[in-house]
Amino acid sequence: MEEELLSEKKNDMPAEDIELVRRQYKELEDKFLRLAADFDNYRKRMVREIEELKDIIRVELIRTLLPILDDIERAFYSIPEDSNTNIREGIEMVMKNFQNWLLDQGVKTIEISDNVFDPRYHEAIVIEESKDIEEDKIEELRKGYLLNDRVIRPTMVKIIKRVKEGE
Amino acid sequence: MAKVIGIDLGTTNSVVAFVEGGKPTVIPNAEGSRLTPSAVAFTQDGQILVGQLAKRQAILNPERTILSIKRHMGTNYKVRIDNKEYTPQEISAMILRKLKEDAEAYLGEKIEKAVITVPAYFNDAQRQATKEAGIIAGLDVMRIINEPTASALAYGLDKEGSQTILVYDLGGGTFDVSILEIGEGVFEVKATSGDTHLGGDDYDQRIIDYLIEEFKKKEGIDLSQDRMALQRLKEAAEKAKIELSTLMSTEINLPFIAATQHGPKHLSITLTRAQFEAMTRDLTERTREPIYRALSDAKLDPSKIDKILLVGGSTRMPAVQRLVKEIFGKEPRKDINPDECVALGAAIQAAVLAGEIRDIVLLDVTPLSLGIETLGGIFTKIIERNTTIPVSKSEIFTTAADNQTSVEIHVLQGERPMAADNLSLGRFILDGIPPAPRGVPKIQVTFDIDANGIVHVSAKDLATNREQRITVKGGTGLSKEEIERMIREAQAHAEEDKRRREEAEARNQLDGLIYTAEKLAKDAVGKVGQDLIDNLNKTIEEVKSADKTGIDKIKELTNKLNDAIYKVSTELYAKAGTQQTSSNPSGEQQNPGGGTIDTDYKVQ
Repeated sequence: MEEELLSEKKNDMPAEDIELVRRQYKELEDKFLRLAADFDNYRKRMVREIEELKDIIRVELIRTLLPILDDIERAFYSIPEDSNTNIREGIEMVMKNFQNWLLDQGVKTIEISDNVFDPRYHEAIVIEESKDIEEDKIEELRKGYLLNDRVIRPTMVKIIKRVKEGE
Repeated sequence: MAKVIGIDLGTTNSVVAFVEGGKPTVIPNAEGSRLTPSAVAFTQDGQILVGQLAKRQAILNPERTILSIKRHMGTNYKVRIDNKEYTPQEISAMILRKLKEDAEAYLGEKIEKAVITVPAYFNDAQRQATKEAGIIAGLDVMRIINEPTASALAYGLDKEGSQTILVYDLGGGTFDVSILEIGEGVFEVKATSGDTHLGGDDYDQRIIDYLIEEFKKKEGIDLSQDRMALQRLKEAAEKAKIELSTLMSTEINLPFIAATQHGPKHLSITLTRAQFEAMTRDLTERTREPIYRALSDAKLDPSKIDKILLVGGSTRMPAVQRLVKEIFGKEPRKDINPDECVALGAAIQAAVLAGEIRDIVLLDVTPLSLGIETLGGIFTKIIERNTTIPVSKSEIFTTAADNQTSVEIHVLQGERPMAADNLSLGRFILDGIPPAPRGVPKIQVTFDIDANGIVHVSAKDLATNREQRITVKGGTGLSKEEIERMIREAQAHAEEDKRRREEAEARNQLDGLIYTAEKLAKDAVGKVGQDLIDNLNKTIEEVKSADKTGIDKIKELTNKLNDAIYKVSTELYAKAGTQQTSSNPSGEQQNPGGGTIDTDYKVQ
């Protein structure tokens, strides 16, 4: 079809012009397809990004609230167990409410029970050596949190390295 | 064709960007962050960690964690890990590889080509090493460009003719000044200077030191010995620094920062911007000398600098901006995110080299909104300003009066809510509309702006397919100044315009209600008490003849008429029982209906 059209016009159009038009057509078609593909990819990514954005906004909000929970926990643990139980209980309830809210949001605490340092989940800020332990261990200094397997804040840990007697 | 990227391979942080639809955009890393720490770590079990993860384990593994490798580029420096030696380019390649792979994951495409930036003072060996790092990372390095050049590209200065610019780049740990001459798209570095150990981290440290000192004075406790407390101080100091860029003072509250046998101790200090600036004045002042040195090397007077660009996160501090303004006597440019500016410019250079920019169809936008006049002299926008053209948009309108057989389409351009305040582009009449009650005919009005900015407006009666059209040539042929003036005026009159529009809308609503009331008065004859109908008719006459100026007066009349309608309809429905449902006498369906000649209202 294209051939036919071109051959018809051959009479009044020099071959080099046809070649030029053909090339320009190809270029334009290419440009158009690229733009269309770019846009389609953009659209797809936007859909994905909007979904992710919801998570990011939540993560950012939760992240800014965590230091306040840290402080409430510090307050709670600084009250001696044998002191005025009503105040202690009250603060504990405030703390529990906050912790439960985090759970409702799908936020989980990072566990360090396996005692193995993992930079994906832990941030080391202190190193100590000890002769009294069998294996290296880690100690939690500040809780870390996860949302949908994404680290909102890594657990801040102290690393205790085992040293042999006499070293 | 695979995407090309631009990489700002920094001393403390790196950033990667690409161009999409002609605009550079930063690509977040796998952890969701736009900045990737330039840190590499070799774990005991043979893994290589890059970025945030490498930093988190740095203290555990200090001799196997490499920070600021950029300082060693182009030297014979080697990193020795487990009897294997790594060159600085091999370490840098690990950072580049992570940036590349994260970008590939984000874009869902393979990336082969990149432009990487280096400081303007880098020598050939350093540039060569940077290029090699790219090659080791599996990148085809299209070009190594200077960081200040990238910044100038990000600001589009290459398109602004010949000029001399100074780039002031104060990052996390280094300070660079560069003077560039731009002409004919060529960038020439005239002079560079700086301080290789000055940056935002120094400012944080000053706040930390101050907090420790104050706490010691008050409580007698030295927090610098407590790692956990130090960590909290560090986070609080950075937060305070950032806040003081926008606020005049900030509160630093760290409860339970220490414990003694007398109980817990809290740190609570208010830090003002003035205090912060006083305690960091010498740091800011340290940038002054390198500026003068660069100026003197370039044999230039501060007045000969056409533009100053602020780059690097620390230039967000007002004291830094003041210093620059004081030296040059003019406002520096700082509208592009200073953390991302270099990477964005690198991405632009990459796209230009890959021929992508040339392929970009330059898209224009409509500088002002376009629309038509509707009932009550209201300007109804069809195409909002800043819409990318070519574009086509339709809306359905209807008649304002019973048996109205023609509508006038008045095409306008502008931002004011009332038609009379905007620029008239033309008008035409669509007639031959079959007689029907108001609100029934459907008239589709279509605005089409072609690639040349020519506006075609058509109106079509969907019942008969009768159509009229108008073409406005040079519809956007206003000068830049005229357009700016119109936008300014719209802003200046926003309040009063809003009131006028509300009044017009209220009046339209009242007109619609009168129409509804008249219909109801006819329909209800014989179905409800004649006294109620008489009352309704009386109220209609009163409302019709009343003076309808001022929104309060209109609302009062609307309420009065609603009351009369309500009395009739209540009795009507009470009598009709439950078998009949409402015919919606409220009038909201009619919205801005009624009126005189050819006005219309929006259906959707």
